[in-house]
Amino acid sequence: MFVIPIRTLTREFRLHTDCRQAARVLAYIETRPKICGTALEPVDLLVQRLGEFYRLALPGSGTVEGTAFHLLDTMHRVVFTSFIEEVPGAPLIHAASVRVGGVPVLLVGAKGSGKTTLALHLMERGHVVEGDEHVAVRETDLVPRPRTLRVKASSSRFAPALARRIRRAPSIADGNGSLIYAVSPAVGGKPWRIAAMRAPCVVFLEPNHGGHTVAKPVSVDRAFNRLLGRCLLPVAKAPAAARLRRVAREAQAWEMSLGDLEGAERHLTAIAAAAKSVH
Amino acid sequence: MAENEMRYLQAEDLEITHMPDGWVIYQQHTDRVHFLNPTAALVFELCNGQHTRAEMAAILYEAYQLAAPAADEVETCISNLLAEGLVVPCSSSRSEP
Repeated sequence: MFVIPIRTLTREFRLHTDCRQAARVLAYIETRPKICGTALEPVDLLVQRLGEFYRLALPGSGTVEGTAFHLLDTMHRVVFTSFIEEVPGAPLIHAASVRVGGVPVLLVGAKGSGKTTLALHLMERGHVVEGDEHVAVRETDLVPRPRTLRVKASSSRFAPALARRIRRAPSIADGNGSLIYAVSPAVGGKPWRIAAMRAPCVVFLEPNHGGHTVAKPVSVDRAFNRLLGRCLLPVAKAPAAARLRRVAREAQAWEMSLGDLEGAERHLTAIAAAAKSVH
Repeated sequence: MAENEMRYLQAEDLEITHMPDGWVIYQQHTDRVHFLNPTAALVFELCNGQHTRAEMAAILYEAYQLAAPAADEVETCISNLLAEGLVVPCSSSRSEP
C-alpha cells in the first residue's frame, strides 16, 4: 500500500492506494513540511482502482471517480479549500516565502516575475525556503501556504547544484507537454518548516531579464497599493484589506527589478540585515 | 443650490475598517479599496449631511490647531471623495441619526 501525505495547517490528508501508477501521479501533491505549533488531524482517504479509472473517497462524504489526474485536480481543490478554512478572513498574498539570515522575506510578484527562480537560487545558496505560492495574512501574523515549489524543467538551470534532485521530484506535463516538477524545499538541505511570522520584509519583484538586479525602498502607501494588486481578498474585503495595510505599515518594503540572481541575493541579504538591526 | 452651501453624505455601499493610520474603505459596486489618511478620514466623517465645506475647514482648523482654515485642503479632499464616489452631495442639512 502506498501512502501519500498532504499537510495543510491543521490536517494531514493521507491518500492510500495499492496502485503504483496512481501513487506516482498523486505524489505530485505530496506535501510534508513540519507544521510548527500544531498537532495535525489525520484524514485518511482511500483511492480504489476501478478498471482503468479510480475512485477517491472524499473527506466527510461523497466520492469522485476518474483518471488519476482527475483525482489529482480534486485533491488540489480539497487541500486549497482546507487551507482557506484554516485562515478565516485572511487575504492571500501571491508570494514566495523565504528566510534570509533568519529574517522572513516575502517575494511578491505576478506569475512569471521570478519568485520561484529566485527561491530556487536562494535554496541552492543555503537559505530557507517555505513556499512559492501564497502567504495568508492572519489577525496577528502571517503564514505560508504549505505547498511544494512548482518548477519548470527549464528553470532547474538556475540552481545547477540542485538540478538532479529537482528532476527526481514528482512531475506532470503542462499543456505544452513541458514537465513541471513538485519540488520540496527540503531538497535544498534545510528542513522544510511552515512557521508563523510577523513583520516580514516585503520585496515586490519585477523581471529585468538579462540585466542587473536593483532594489529600492518603497513607502507604506505604495506597498499597500502593491499588496492589494497581488492578493486574493476573502468575502469580507474591508477587514482583509486592513490586514494588508497592517503588513505594509509593519514591513520594510522594497521594489526589486530582478536581473542577476547573485545580485538579488546580495540585496536580500542587506535588506534582511537592515531589518534585523531595526528589530 | 450654491456649491458653498452644499453638504455631503457618505455613499451607502461602503465597508469601513479603522486603522491606526487612517481608514480602509471597500466600495462594493466598484470592487475597489480606498485608504484615507487621518485628515481625509475626518473630512469623510464630516460628510454626514450636516456640514458645508467652509464648516469642515473650520473644524479641521480647530482639530489640528492650524494657522488658518484649511479651505484648499478640504476642497481637494471633497473633490477626490466625490470623484471616487465615496460621498454624494445632498441639498440640505440633515439631522444625524
